[in-house]
Amino acid sequence: MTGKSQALPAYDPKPKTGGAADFFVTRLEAMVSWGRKNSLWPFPFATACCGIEFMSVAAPHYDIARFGSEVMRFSPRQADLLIVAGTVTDKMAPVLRKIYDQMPEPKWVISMGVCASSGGFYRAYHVSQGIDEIIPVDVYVPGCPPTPEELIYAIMQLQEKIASGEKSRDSRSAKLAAERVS
Amino acid sequence: MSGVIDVSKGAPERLTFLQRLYLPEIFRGMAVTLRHLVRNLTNYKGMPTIQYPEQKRNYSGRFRGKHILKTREDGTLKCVACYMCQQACPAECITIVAGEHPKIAFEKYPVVFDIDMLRCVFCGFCIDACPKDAIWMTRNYELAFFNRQDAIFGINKLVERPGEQVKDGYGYRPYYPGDGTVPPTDATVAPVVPGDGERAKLRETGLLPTYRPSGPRVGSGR
Amino acid sequence: MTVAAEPTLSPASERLRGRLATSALSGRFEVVDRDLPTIEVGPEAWPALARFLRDDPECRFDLFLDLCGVDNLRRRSQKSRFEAVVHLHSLPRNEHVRVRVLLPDEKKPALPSVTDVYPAANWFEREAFDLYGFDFPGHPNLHRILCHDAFVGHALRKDYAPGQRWFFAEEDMRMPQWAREEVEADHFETQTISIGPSHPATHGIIHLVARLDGEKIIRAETMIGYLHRCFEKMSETHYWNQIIPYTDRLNYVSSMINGVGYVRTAEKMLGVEIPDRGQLVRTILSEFTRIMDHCVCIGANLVDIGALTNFTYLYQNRENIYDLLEACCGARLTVSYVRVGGLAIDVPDDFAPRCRSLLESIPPFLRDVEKLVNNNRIVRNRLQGTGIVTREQAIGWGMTGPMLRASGVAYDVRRSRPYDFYDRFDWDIPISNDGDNLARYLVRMEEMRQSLKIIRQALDMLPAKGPVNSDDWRVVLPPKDAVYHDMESLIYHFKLIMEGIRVPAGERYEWIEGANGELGFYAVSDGRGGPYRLKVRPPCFPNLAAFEQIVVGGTVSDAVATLGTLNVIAGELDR
Repeated sequence: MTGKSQALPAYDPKPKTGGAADFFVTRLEAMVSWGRKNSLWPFPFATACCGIEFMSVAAPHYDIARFGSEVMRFSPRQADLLIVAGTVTDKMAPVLRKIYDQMPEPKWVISMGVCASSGGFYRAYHVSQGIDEIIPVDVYVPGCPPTPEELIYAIMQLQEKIASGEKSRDSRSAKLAAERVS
Repeated sequence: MSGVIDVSKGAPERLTFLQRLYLPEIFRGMAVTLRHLVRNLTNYKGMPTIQYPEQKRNYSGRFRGKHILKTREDGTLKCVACYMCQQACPAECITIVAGEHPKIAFEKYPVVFDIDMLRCVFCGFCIDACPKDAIWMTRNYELAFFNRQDAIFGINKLVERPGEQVKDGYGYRPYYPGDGTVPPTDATVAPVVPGDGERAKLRETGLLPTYRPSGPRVGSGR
Repeated sequence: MTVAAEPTLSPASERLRGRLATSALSGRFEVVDRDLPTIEVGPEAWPALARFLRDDPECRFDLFLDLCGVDNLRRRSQKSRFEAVVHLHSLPRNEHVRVRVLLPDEKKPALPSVTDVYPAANWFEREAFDLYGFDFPGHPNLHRILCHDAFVGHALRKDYAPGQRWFFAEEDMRMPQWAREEVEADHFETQTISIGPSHPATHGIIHLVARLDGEKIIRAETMIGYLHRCFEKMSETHYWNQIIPYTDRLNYVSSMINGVGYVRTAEKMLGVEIPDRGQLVRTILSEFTRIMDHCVCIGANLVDIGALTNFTYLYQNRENIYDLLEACCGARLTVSYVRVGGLAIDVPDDFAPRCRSLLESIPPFLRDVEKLVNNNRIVRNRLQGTGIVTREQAIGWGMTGPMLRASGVAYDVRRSRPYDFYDRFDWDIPISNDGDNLARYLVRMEEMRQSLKIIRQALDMLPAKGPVNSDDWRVVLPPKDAVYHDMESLIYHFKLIMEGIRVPAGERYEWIEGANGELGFYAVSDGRGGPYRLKVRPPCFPNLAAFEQIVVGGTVSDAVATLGTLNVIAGELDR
């Protein structure tokens, strides 16, 4: 970071795995991050039981709208937070990849529940053992399903991550894709 | 006594003229929604929304949250690495490596006790399976990770240090206060020879009791 | 025609054997007595037998419940490696029957398709093809249904490793042949679109490929399997109690009911009785869970139509019931509360007051929803007269539950084969003769009220104190006090945890009323600690199989409304 003010921070579309994070943020970046983190519009990629708990978060008892997620956007072009809630099977994997690719930058991914994070207790022939095989993930939320407060806590952690300007993500997808090709 | 109800009687085939006009129905519907709105505005405390993180839902004393490993009075883990929780877990998320305990009455202790929080389905079977009152669950659910490696909780993250307040309180347990269960007392008397330091002597005599767990998943390490 | 002689059969089996003996069918049948009258037959005679069972006036097995495969590779002394097990129900006579089709050819197991006799068999046969490799000559569309199209092998065979996965890319996806053709309807070009799998209106992930002429659907095909989580293979690698968390995730909006159905199967195989208090607690919580399921179904359905407020009201009901479930067992949604032989722990002391306060708090929300919806012109236009299923269609397509009841058939497992005290309560079955979406909505609303009625009566019968578990320690974990201090209890505890519950070898089909219809569990045991084979008969599987025929001729918006009333839960559909 040079410290000079820029028109808009240029986000690197290729996710960095590991490496030094940029912690020195300018005032402009801080303001932009503040705006982004407080208006995350989720794309609920709800496949299974975690989808029902996600609906609980959207319902009045917990109300994710208090955090800026007033609308659920079911079109990836209009969303910036992909919440993968539920098991992703091998049959659903290309669909998930396509949805992720269709989302414009900046985008973040929350893997909600243990099924999405690691396959959960489905060590089986048709279940993807973690969506980080397919897309890069920002926050993993354990629980089966996580309580709505746990998901809100994860969104708050993500908000802190956005505010700090940290851009690295956890992903095995690039490595697995390379293995498949070779 | 019991019968069958035809529900189509409840909603007549044709709507009445006023219902078809639609405007009266709009006002009737808005009366319902405005009633809820006014009730929420005038009774802010009675609103169903829980303002997390300032407010937290009061979960019961049976809530299945993060696990803790219980300790004896001297601070050592009560767990004797019997592998029953590892066997009972449907997600196979517990990994235990047993070590030999110097006190023959305890026999074993866990050198490694890992729970992969991103595999655990929080079913509580490990608490049901433990015969030594060594693992409980708490009401703490505030876990989120930035990478999968952080999610493997070892003994340091799971142990309940003596004197330390458990975050959010205890949850799902093998017994609850008032149900009359007496927790297991630590065996301080060795079955063959009392006291410590006799292990080597026993090994020579061949009288040392050995424990061989059965089943393919036990002790295989994952 | 030869019928093997059996010494003494139950009256139902005896009658069946008599009918088969006097019929004009050719082929070898053997009627044996298991938990149900069972007919064993070879594959050549199966279609004629199916037709006979459906049409014969003394049999009239008109409801096709289930067809599954069993691989006897690891099971000793069975007649053939592969068999197809079919369950049928007779609505007029209120009887179940099982047919075991023994497939002699191990290399290419095949049996003729019965889709012309029972249209409901369509998807069940596809599933058997997918998971076992059975061939069904005569089937109109024999392709994989649950596993993806790049899958190699047949997953439920005993020689298939549970963890063996295959990579699936987008280009491997099979689109139906008709979808790839260019078709004109009346000189206007038609469009083929995919509704789903990621779509706000498909509750759960379902892929509907539809050919549209303008807004009207002229041909459709549903593709499922996007949530195939291999429940049945997981149940072969786990012990009986360890499967209970998996059953929670079947119909995840009403998780307790699946658990109750599953443990009842194991309990019946073991011959274990649970005390009255345990049964009543299970009944009360199952009925609350049924209310939760209907709340989600109606709420989501109305959201699709555009009525968003009702979702918030109905979800508040769910949150209130979550409070109760969480106080009992520690989890809101996936409760894992039942165990084989009873419950995990006894209910808390304030269980009855909590339930009674719920009985007060639920009806106002239901009344609010009815005020907003019942006489609303827009809702009527969307739901009334759309998605019509006639009575004959519903029975032919194997539907059960609110779908069948809204088409005029009063079949409810709680009435026809009462379990857990249902025969002692005074309650009504809601039906409707219209068969459209509005009828299903009304049936579900009334079912919620009937559930409240049942809960009220069950609470009056509930003893304040008493055991909830059976006291048979070969099945139920001993109480912790005994485990900590008594050697014998510790040994029982150890054996149960390490080796599982030893269920005697045999098979059982046990069925209960799930929120969507008849939820059946067919379990085969070989004496080990876990089931040898566990098949779930999901109520929404045949319901959704009919969807592609129901939507033809209607518009896309009607299809969305109909899908909402079908209440498809992908966890149960794809298992």
